Order: sequence, then structure tokens, then C-alpha cells
Amino acid sequence: MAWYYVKNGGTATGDGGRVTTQRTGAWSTTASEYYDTLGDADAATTAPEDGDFVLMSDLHTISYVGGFNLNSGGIASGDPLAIISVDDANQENYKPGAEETYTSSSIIPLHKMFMAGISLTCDTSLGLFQSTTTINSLRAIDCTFINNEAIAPKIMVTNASGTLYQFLNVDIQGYFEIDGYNKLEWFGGTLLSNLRSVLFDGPYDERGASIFFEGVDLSSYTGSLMAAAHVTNTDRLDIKLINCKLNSSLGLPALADLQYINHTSRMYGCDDTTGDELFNYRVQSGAGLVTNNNSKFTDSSLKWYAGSTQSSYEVITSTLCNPLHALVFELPIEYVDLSTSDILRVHLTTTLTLTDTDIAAYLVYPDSTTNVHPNWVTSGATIGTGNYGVDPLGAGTTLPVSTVSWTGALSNKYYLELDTTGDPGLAAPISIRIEVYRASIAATTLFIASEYEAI
Amino acid sequence: MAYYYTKTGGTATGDGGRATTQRTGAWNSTASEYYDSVVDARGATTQPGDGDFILISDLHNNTDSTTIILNGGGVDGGAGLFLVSVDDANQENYKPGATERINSGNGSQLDLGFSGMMAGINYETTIDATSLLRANSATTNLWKFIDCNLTCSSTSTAILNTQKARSNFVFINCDMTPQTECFGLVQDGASIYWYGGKLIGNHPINSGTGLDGGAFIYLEGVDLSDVAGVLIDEMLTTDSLGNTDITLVRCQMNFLVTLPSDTDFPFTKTKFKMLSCDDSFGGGDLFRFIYQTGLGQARNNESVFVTANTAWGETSDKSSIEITTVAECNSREPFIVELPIAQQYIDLASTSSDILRLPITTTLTLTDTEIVAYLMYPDGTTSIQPNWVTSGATVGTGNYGTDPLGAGSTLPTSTTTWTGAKTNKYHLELDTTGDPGQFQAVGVRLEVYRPSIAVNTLMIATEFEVL
Repeated sequence: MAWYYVKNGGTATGDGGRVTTQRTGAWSTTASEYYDTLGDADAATTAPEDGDFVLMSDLHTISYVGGFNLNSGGIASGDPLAIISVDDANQENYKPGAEETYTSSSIIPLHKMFMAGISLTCDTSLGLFQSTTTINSLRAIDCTFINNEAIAPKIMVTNASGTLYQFLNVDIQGYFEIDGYNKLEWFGGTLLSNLRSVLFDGPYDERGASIFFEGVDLSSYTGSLMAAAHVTNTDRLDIKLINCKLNSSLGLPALADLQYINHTSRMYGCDDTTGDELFNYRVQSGAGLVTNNNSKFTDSSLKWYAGSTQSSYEVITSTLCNPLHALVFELPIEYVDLSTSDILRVHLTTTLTLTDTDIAAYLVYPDSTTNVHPNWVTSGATIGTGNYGVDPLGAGTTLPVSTVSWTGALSNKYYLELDTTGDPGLAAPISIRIEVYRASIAATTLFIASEYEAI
Repeated sequence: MAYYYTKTGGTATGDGGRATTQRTGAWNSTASEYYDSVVDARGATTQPGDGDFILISDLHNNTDSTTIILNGGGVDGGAGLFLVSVDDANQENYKPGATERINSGNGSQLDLGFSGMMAGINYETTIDATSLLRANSATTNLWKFIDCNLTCSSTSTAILNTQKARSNFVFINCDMTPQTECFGLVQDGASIYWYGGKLIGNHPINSGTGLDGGAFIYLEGVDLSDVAGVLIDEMLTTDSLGNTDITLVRCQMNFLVTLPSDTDFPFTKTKFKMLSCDDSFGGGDLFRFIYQTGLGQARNNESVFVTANTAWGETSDKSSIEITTVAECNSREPFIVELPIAQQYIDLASTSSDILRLPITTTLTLTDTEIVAYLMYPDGTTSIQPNWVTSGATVGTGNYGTDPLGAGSTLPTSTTTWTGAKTNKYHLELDTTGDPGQFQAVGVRLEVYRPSIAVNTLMIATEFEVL
């Protein structure tokens, strides 16, 4: 393990800024004991690699031509190379503030990387972090990543397979080009701006991609959430946003923008600055779209958080939707005592005549006597015993009629019944899976209650 | 849309067994109007493809000597080819029971092109082969199997090889009998969902997993009680760059099953989760909660727990979450338990319940840069605003990550009563008083930075203390 010290004005060459015992106290006043740039540190005779630390003064600020590889000597299974901003007055302490700007260039992280408290800026369409086949993971905390390139300000290009980017409290200017079944996780922080009109750019091919944002402030962004995912590319694409702050003008994907059922985009607990619960629940795949609708709801359903809004889930399906390409989504988890409330009803209102092969609810729940044993029930039309899939040929039977009170009810009211009386269950947090098989359900024709009725 | 009728004894050739109007009632008695096998139906002059149905009598029982490609002529995003077992007495009705065997070939017996669905069919390979099913080398989108029995009755045969980018498989209520692993060569970003059914025989779920982009495997309500040996075989480890995610929910396990070890996974990018699974004796809650990456493992422990905590399910078992980490775990590459480990409904808007404490008991001296809880919660007045608090040592304002260089301060001491307490008792405190929240489901993300935490040294309560 070695430490490499970086502050603008440094004159170290070779291994001059490298030590094997961590320094403490105030920053060295001898310029030859620290490097002028991260690039200079990377060019040390003994280059920093797995398990080493590049420590940059929080006063460090410099602009130069980057374009260098970081951790080229690492290995896939090694410890990350750490690049951390430290307190100039007490260099053993972490303190955010170090800044580097790369002109007409950027950097190329390899193997595993960790960054904390640093600000990196570039201006190239190659991306702030250029990926190669040897990047493995990059975890960043308290950082700011900016790409000022006018046309394609990419933060990273994930054209290697299986890279993990994990950002905690990171502020970003730019967008993400993702494929290769890469994962992008962003917990907290702000999208400062995006000079391009798309946030997640494809092509999502070469094994797809996985994107997870939690508590990220995207409220300044009014472009499109994602580029279209095309049917000619059926790799798994999984986009999930939780409790993110959005702009009411955010461009959400249209039905045609996700063209296969393993293209999924989900939002839970997100909202815009008006606080009207606009994006609280949104699940989309190539088979259709489910969104919270705040003008139709069962009158007895709970309100969102501290607000006064009640909702149902509006269902739209695409022409692709069928028993093979079902629209599948989970209702929010509720804690239900199935030993006493053993029949659950999911209510819906619709302009359609719906059968038990058009839409079905599924429940997996623990057995009352042997909780190891998973019991199943479905509201769908099944044949024989134990078959949890819905009859793929039957026209089905019209759903039972519901009498619950709705605000904004449509012409028909039905319910999906999950009857566990034949195989009693326990008190448990349960989640009901809804599968919709009927194609081309138009907007404003089908709404599902946001809560179950337990009988 | 066309219908291709198949039943043992059929003599149809060309398009003889093909109809553009679905037949109803009893099976046709004219043998030239139905095919003898799926292979024959597949060989029709007008080959079955997207949107077509191969309807097979539930009395059908046939052995083929030819491996075939199904829906090789489909298109991306096509409606899919449907193979459905139907009632011989009323052929418009679905009825499981049709049986097809393949007794020739040594590669993969059914090559699945583009999209398709099988329902109610027993498919078997009776000879040694690589696998019964495989993703087509160029095209597979999605294949879904409902109420099927998939059987390999000769040696060295898996049920499925995915081995192809963009291939996706869904199994619903399927019983599978492999002779090697159930799913082999699960890689290239392939995804497998299996809801209900049984893995028959003592075989691993998967093997050869994780290369070239990783894989996604999700099992819910599957009976795995025959698996008394290795559950996950041959995870590709340090050389793999893949993101792999394997999740088992409410699956029935064998208490002799061998779970993956720390060394089975590449460090951060492979996740293995078991939620609400248990062994066949029930009540032991042996596999109630397991969350594992290459950096560590969180697992329910029934002998050490906060005495006041709630028992699991129908049993009287109480638990803690035991944490172990590997030598490579550190703040740059922590062990992260992403799932809520203590999810409760808590009114964070109330001044009497806006401080959460997660008790710990341990043989170690732990600091706030070695183990940290993070809570993200909606703001009390504007639910759009995500608020964050952490129990970790932070620097400056707004930084949710923990000081990567600091030695940290010893965690605050807890007076909570434990059964089986270790020498030290601490708590992780999440104080929301500075930015009030709402009444909501609360779950925390736990990050562990301390390396080499051994078994039986660190346990975390399964419930918050609310102040």
C-alpha cells in the first residue's frame, strides 16, 4: 500500500510524491514531495494501483490535458485504487474540495476505483469516464462530475460488460450512455444540468443495463428520461427510481419507447415540485404501462403520505400484450393477517368487459402450519390443480361484480378475488402480483384500486 | 394465425394438420388431419411461427429422434409460437398431459428461437445431451413455460443453457428434473424467472454463471427440498466482470443444502438473496434472511436476538441478523445490505418516534466508520424532498457517505436486553429531528466497512427502537 500526494504547484516526478507511510498534519511545503496533477501521480515510476491511495489537497485545483489511464496495473479482483480529497491543514483527514479539469480529454478508470470528495470536469464527447473492457467498478462519494461538452456530455460510456457505477451524494452534469449489462446506482445528489435532451441513452444492447436511483434530485431536468429501447434489442433493461425529485416537464417514456417485456421502467414515491404525487407509482414494460391516477380511486383508500391525494392504478397495454408477453406488476406490500382475513379482493373499475383470462392476480403466501411451504392462489382461470398460470386458450368468465364505492367510477366495477380459505395462511407482509394479458387496453379505461379489501 | 394439430398416430404431411380456424369438440378421427409429432408439425409446408398454435392432444405420447428449432422463423417482438396441450375430448380446451421425448442428438434438444410459450406439456430428453432447452444462438427473446414437466432422464444433462445475450425465460408451475445443474451457462445478461414448481433431484440451480455481463435469476415459491448438496455451482468469480443477481423468495429448502461461500462470488457485483425461505422441517427459520455478496453475508441468527423483538411467522423463533465480512471489505468496497433489514411503519412526523436506533451486540469494538446505517425518507412537509440521515461519521454537510479516512468514534453503548448478548452492545442511531419526516414504511441500507468480521461476532437487531 502506498500514498501519492497531489496539489497544484507540486513538482514531484518519478516516485517523488509517493510514500509508503501515510503523512499527517499540514501539507508539505516542499513542492518536490507532491505531484502537480492526478495525471502526474498516475505517471509515477511506481504507478498507483490496487489498494493504493492518491490523496489530493482540498485546495487543489488545476486544469490540464488528461487522457490517462488510472489503475492500469490493477487486477479484476484487487482492492480499489482510492482517490480522496483531504484537508490541506491535516492531510490525514478527509475533506472534500479537490478539483481537476481536463481540457479536450478525460480519464480512463480501469479495474476497481474509489473516489471521495473530488470534483472532475471534462469537455469531451468521449465521456468523463471512458470505459474499457477492464473497468470493473467505480464507487464515488461526495463528488461532482461535470461534462461541459455541448453535444454529447456523457459522464460515462459503459461499453464494457458488467461494470458497476455506484454514486453516493454525487452531483452530476451530463448523461449516461449504458449497455453491456452495466449497473448504475445513484443514492442522493443532484443532476446539475444535462446539456443533452436524454438522461439514459442506449443502445442498452450487449446484455442490457440496470439503473437504480434513490433520493436523487432531478428537478432541474426537463428532457427525456431515456432513449427508446427497440424491439430488435431484447436484452434486459431495468430502470428504477425511488423517492427522486422530478420536474413536472420530465419527458417520460412513451408506450412505444419500451418495446419488449424485459424493458422495464419503474418509479416509486417520486414526485415533482408541486407535490401532487404525479409520479408516485409508475411501472412500464413493453407490454404496457401502470400509473397512479389521482382522479379515480376507491373512496376508502388511504391518502399518500401527508397529502390529501388518493389514487388508483391506471392500466394501459400495448399490442404486444398477450399470455406470453403479459404486463406484470406488483401492488405495494401490505401486512395482512391471512389467518383471520383470508379472502383478498383487488377492486377495479373499467369501461371494458373483463374476464378471468384477461387479467389475473397472484398471491404467494406462507402456510399457516408449515411456513416453509409456499401456498399459491390466483384469481385467474386455471385448469387442474396446482397450475398457477392462467388457461392460455380459454375465453374466460366475466369477472365478479364489485359494489365498492369509487370516485370517478367507470361503467363496470369488478374485483379479482384471492381466496386462501382452502389452504390457510399466516399474518405476513404480502405482495399481490397482477398480470394483464389483454392487448391494447387504452388510456382511461381500466383502473385498479390501490389497496386490497381483506374479508 | 394458424393451428397445427398433433397427436401420436397422426399421418399428416405438408399442411395436412394445419387449420386456419380453431377446431372444437372431440379430436378428429382422420389421422391425415393431424401430425404425429411436434417435429412433424414443425416440418409443415407452412411452418408454424409467430402467433400460431401447435395444439397437442393431452393423450399424445411420442418419442422423436430429431432435435429441432422452434420458431426459428419468428421476428423480434413477434407474438410468439404457442405449444399447448389440449383436451382430446374437447380440443378447444387447455388440458395438461401431452408428452414428447427426444432420444437423439447430443447438443441441446430444443433450440428456442425468438419468442414462444409452452403450456401443459411434458418434455423429456432420454439421451445424454448438453441440455434439454437452449437459447437459440442468434435470436432468443423470451420463452415461457406453464404447467410443464421438463425432464432429463439420461446423464450429464441440464434443463436449460441460456448462453446468449438477450435471452429470457419464465417458468410457472414447472417441475424440472435435470441430471446436472438445472440451468447451465447462465450468462450474457440472461434472465430466468421461476414461479412455483419443483426442482426434482439433488442438483444445483445453476452453473457456469456470471460470465460476460452476468445474469439475473429469480425463484419464488419453488420447492428446492431435494437439493441436499450444492445450491449454486460454479459461479464465475474473479475473472468475471458480470453483474449477477440471484434471488430466492419463499422457496422450500433442504436443511443439508450447501449455500454459496464468500469465495464463490466476485466482490461487489454478484448478489445472492434468500428471503422467507426455510427448510423442510419448518419452524427452524434457517434460511429466513440471507443477503450475500463477495464482500460479506447478512443472515438470520436464531440464538442471539433482542429479547423484546417479534417472533417469526407461526413459530416462536426470534432472530438477529448476523454479519460476516471478508478480508477485502473496506470503505472503498463495502459490504452493502441493500434490502431493508428492519422495515417497520414508523411515524417520523412525531417527536416521540423520530429517532431510530438499531441495536447491535458484538465481541468487537466498533466505530462509526466501520458499520453505518443510512435512511432515506420523504420530508414531512414536501414528500417530494428526499431527506437522508446516517449513523456514520461524515464530513461537512449533505454528504451521505462515511469518512473514508477517519478511524471513527466508538459507537454509542446500548442498554437493550439481548438473549445471547456478546461482550459489547451498541446502537446505530438515525436521528431525523433535524428534518422531520412522515408516517411511512422505514427501511435502512446498511454498509459495513470493517474487514474480516468472523462468524458469531456481530449481530444486529431485526427491529428498530423508536424514540
